Amino acid sequence: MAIESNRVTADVVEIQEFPALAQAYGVRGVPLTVINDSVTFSGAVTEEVFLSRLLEAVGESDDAEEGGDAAEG
Amino acid sequence: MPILRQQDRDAVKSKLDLELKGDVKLTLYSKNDMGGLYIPGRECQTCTPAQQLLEEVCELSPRLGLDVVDFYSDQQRAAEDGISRIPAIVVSSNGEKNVRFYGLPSGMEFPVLLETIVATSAKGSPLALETRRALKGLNQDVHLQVFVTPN
Repeated sequence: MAIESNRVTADVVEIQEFPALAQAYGVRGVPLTVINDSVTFSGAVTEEVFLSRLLEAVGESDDAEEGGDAAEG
Repeated sequence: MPILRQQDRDAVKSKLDLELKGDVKLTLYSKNDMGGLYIPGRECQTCTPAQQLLEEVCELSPRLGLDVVDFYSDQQRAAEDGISRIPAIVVSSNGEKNVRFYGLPSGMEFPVLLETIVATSAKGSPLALETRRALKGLNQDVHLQVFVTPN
């Protein structure tokens, strides 16, 4: 997604090396994805769901659902 | 002693030869060894293996380049790239620097790094057309953070 849009920056964070950061985001399992510090979800999801969450984070989703189903952001 | 086994080197080289479509630069934000001098607060246990791993990967294709930056002596550049911790790897092509790996990309993260390099070289991802359209239509910045472990 970051390759497709200059608006998107993607960080892959290895939590064993950055435990304080992982703790700050309440990581309890991996993978955990955090979008704009506002939408959080765990596990692998389909491309469609991922895009939906991303659009939800920027307020562009028509059918935004409640975020943060696995960990508090 | 190499990090990549010969069979892994062969597989990675084959993939890069086949799939790289253009030049990709890897920038590693690390710290100078300083002759083994220990400075509290500046520990980085995986900086050296990260550099070695990237050097081994970059040796496998003329399309790959590696730039190693000392995080502590070039803080301005780190700030420009949005780097606040090390080791950090920025995967870029034509100055676009949107993908970063924090930590040593070992284990299951290594294939992810390779796929990112390949996608960056092609300046395109395997995402669906609808997804790509939505991403190109974004009118504000998005910061994705994916927390992972090597296993």
